[in-house]
Amino acid sequence: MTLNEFIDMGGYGFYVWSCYGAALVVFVGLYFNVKLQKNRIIRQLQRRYRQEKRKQQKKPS
Amino acid sequence: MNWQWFHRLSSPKWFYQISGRWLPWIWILSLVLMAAGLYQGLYNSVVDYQQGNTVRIMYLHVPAAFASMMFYVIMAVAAAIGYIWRIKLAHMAAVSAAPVGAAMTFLALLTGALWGKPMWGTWWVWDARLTSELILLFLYLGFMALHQAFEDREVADRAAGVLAMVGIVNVPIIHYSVEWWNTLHQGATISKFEKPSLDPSMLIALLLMIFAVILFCTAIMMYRMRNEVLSREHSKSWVKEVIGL
Amino acid sequence: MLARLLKRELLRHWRCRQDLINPLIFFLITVSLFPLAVAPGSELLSRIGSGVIWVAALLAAMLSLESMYRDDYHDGTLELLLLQSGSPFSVVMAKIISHWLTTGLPLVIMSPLLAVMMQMNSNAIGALMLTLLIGTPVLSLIGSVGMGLTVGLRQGGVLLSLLVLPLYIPILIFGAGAVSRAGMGMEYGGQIAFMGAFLLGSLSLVPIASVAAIKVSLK
Repeated sequence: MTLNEFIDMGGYGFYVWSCYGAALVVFVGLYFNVKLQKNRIIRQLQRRYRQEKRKQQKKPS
Repeated sequence: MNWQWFHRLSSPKWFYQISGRWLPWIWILSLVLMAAGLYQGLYNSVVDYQQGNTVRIMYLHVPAAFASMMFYVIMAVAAAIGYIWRIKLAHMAAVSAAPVGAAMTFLALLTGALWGKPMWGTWWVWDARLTSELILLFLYLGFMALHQAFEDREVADRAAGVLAMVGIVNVPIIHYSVEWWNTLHQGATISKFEKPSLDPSMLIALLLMIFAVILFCTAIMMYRMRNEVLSREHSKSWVKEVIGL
Repeated sequence: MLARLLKRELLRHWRCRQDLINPLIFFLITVSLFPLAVAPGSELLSRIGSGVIWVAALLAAMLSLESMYRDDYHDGTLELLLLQSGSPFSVVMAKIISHWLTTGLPLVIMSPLLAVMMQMNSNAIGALMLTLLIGTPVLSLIGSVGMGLTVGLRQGGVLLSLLVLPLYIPILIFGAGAVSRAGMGMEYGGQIAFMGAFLLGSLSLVPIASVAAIKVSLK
């Protein structure tokens, strides 16, 4: 089987490959969505903890 | 009966630690299975005598459809556990399963349309399975929209949990009424979509892809749950240690 | 207890009659838009009539759900009722029954008029009334769960439709299916039996879910 035949998929290349392309987009999208969510949460929490620390340090003095 | 394991299992900290250990393996296994499944499905399997190469869409469509239903059940069961025993981790699981399931439902619909165009000559058929899948997407969207609408997370959890439980009772009813409606309205026009007996090479590809997709979805769901744990348990000292400062 | 609660609900509805009439006008207008949009040809109208009237009834019932809990929720009456009546189920049931009496039943009574406008034959009109009579209580029942969940939200209206409409699908399929079969002179007892089963099933399960939904919202 040549590469061209593989891509052509017996004339159904467009349908088959757009399916697999869409699946790739969905899977990668799911992954990056959750990855970005994690980064956002970590940044939020770090900021929060820093503020808490500052408040604690201010109080005794 | 000893319920200790149950409480240990429901501790967010325990989950965070154990999932951190498992997650890399699940990723690796899922990607390996997916690579094998893609090789088998796209290259190494025979072509269906009726449907030609479009049958290769099946290796995405069926796993996505399977995962879409499986994750709905997971979501509803988790929501019920969370609602009845007031376990926070179960609510987090339900909330994390919903976007994954919705994405799989969307993918199943999309691949179904791309399969339908060359086979039935139209992008969309009001076929029982397609229609049920579409309604399943609505149910997922309703769950996520309801959860988003509340400001208080615990109220959101419980409200969305009630909806998920009502939904799971309705899913079989909806499915059978759609099936019944479909047989009434359409004769045997799409009977050429009857299940062909699968060649072993096709079956292997299908099974590989089903396991790969489910593992991938599980990994994403666990990842989402870990995020939920971090953001909800932010006042606990162990989270502060994990985040580090 | 149930009778007293029901009387209170009906009285409350009677005091704001306009809210009761609006869904009916909506029902009438929606159905009469279809001939204008599709075509006034009688054959086509009678074919789609059953579906159009059922969808319009569904939307009208959904729009009127708002009046079920909203006012009582906001002035605190709902919480008091649940606490004092001793039985949250009778509070919920009273609300559902009164909702059906004030919107479902008028829809049933109005439906023959619209069926005539849609050129449906007498057989179909009978089936339409019968299916609406069995189907509208189910709409009120399922709607009460959705309304209970969204009552505390500010932008609850659109969300309510997203939650409730997918759950209405089975009743729509069987209701409209029975009417169109009747229009073609076919047997439709099976559909009626299914709708009866839906009614009994939701009668037994919905109050539990509805009470749970309201308790979540009241917190």
